[in-house]
Amino acid sequence: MRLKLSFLASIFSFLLYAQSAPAYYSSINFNKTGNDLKNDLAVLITSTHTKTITYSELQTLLKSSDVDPDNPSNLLLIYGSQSSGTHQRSRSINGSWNREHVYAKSKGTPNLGTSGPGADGHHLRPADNTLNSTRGNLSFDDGSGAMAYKTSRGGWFPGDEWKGDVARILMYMYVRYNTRCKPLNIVMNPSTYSSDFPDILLKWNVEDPVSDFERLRNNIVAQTQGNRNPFIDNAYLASVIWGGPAAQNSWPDTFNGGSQDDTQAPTIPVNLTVSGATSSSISLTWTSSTDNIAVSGYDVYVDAAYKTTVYNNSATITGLSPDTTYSFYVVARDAAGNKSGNSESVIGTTENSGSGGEGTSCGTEDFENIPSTGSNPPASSYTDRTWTNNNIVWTATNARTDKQVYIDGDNNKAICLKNGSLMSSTISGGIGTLSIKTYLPFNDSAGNYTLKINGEVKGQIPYSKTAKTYVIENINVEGNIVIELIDGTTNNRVSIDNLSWTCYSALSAGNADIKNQKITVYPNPVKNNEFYIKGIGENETVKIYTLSGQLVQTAKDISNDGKVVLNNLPKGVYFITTKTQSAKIIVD
Amino acid sequence: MSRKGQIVEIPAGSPVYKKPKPEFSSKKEELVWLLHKDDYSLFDGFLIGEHVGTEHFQLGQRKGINAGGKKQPLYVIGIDDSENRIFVGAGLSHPGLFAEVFLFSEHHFHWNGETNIGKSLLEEGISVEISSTLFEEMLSAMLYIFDGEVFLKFRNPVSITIQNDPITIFYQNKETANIFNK
Repeated sequence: MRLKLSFLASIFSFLLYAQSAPAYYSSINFNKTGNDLKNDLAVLITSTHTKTITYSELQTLLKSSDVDPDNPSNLLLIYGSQSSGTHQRSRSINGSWNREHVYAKSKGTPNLGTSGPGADGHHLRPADNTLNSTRGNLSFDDGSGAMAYKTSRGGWFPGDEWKGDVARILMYMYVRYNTRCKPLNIVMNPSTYSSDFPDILLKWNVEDPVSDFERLRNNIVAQTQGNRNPFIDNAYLASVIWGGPAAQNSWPDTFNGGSQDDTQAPTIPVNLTVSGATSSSISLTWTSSTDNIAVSGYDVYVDAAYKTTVYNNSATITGLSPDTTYSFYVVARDAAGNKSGNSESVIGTTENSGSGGEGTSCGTEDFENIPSTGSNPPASSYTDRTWTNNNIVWTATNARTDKQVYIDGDNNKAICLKNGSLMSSTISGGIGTLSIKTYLPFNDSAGNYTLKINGEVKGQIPYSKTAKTYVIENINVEGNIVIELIDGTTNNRVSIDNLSWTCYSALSAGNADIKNQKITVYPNPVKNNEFYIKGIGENETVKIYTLSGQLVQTAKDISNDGKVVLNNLPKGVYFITTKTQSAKIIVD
Repeated sequence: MSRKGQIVEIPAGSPVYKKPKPEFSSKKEELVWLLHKDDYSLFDGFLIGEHVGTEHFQLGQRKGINAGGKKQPLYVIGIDDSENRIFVGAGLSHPGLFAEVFLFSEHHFHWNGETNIGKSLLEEGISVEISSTLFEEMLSAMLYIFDGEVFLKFRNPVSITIQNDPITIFYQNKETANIFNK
């Protein structure tokens, strides 16, 4: 069995890492260089261009060739870099986009129109309509950053993620359509490496290496048209033809030279800071990393779990719970998959969901007060449980409470219901939003718990094998409430923890108005290992973290203006967090 | 013979100016690192135009950089003769216009008469005062000499144009040496 597996693996890796030119290029003599090689490639990609597609066939083709690899219902829009708006990077196939002539039609000699070179699948890309017209027929110019923009000498910078794509498209256009698509007519100077070819494209071809997305779309377009873009198959061909800095050579067995596989990781992102927060999101910024080739993106981690990938040095993390503290770090990666180390962690707290009639966090239940019943009944049997916490009496049916069902480690209690229910006693203050963490500790299938307030269904709470916090918003019931969670239909064993809810009172702002004082620490820098903290409530817990996010001390029952005595912490900078805020302290 | 070359703009916020300082095992290693920390490559910035020969440019020069449309004027911050490339930065406060450490060849360094400063003392560094037509006042610096390589290290970064003009070095209030870089 093992033999078979490794045999399969070696075939697979052979396919992935073919080191020489594929059969499509068998007619090419790779001992040739410069224009001789260019002319041979021109014959190949022209003679194999067996189907000239129409402008409307192109529209159909783009809907499959340009699908976002991370979201099959979206297309990637060229020049896009943001999550929404004009500069949106990934947008629904059914959304608004049009066909961008990367080689601007009017700059062709003669005009490319919307057929032949003006409808070539290797040439056109989906684009945002507004950004497409902003680009107009501007020549390409060098620049910096993820975002596309008009440069100071009146050119168009396509953005870091797209500049290599643009370079390889224009290389294809020149080789395929020759003097009708001269690159010097569509890219700004200089041209020091070859008098007929812009330096900028040769630079971009190195800085933004061929992406998996480009490879995939090259294959899809080739299936329809018959011909390929050779510069996507091997970016180094451009270095052999036009010179300049050597691009990555994906066929080292075919010819020597070019840079080999990139093994150098980007630098660690620094200066990570929280730049904003709402009740459900936190924004982060940091200083961009550098790489021997180029940084291709940043992975953002929330509470040490991967959350999302962004393409410039800022991110907004959404779907967070209100009034909750999270820790964040980012990791830079390049196109070859090399990753930097983790950045230093920062801590951010979402705001209370305080708009309209909603109030601050009104109550919580952490299931820590569930009493031990010894062996009668054992914690692992599904039975009735009753306990009191924060003056609320909780009743659960068909519930177990042993460590096996805990979500966040052996010391953080949770409760697990099987065809059961959880119900509170009567609570005052109403309810606006409810947040809860769910998880399937055993081999059951995903489903929903029903949330009832005062016996009325108010929402469905999903659960799955991934521990996750869900927020039910706009419950908006005033006055006295009874919270109830129930699953009367399945036998799924569902763990529940970290229940919290906000108050609600329609339009009586007075009730909802909460003290939103900023905490202050004095003296800061901290002397003699003690400090006072102002702007907190009664009996708060103050936690102290190192810059790398490691918890070094927890101080409980601290009151406003109260004193916190530090364990002999080494000199340096630390974060402190309270229930809703954080601050930086310097220990002297 | 002059030939067309690239002009590369280095953004003021470029990571080349933010490299973390590593640990050094010797003073010379630190000086060399400080000297080279701003060495630019094509990939540190972006192409903004072309020039007709590096010989027409010197550090800090503003005139003759043929790239218009900028909000702030461009200054030469680096010249790479082997690649025939010029690096420029926008604005008089661009970090590329300042440096802490400068290297001169022994060929440009001239003692004033006989000197009795020992080799090991010069490798440890001596505290000197610098005068140049560029500054009205004298500047304090450390002078290090290792086997024909002359380093000047200033406490704070000074204009890179200091290399373009003659420098007079005072040691213990005596005019001790001169540097003629041209």
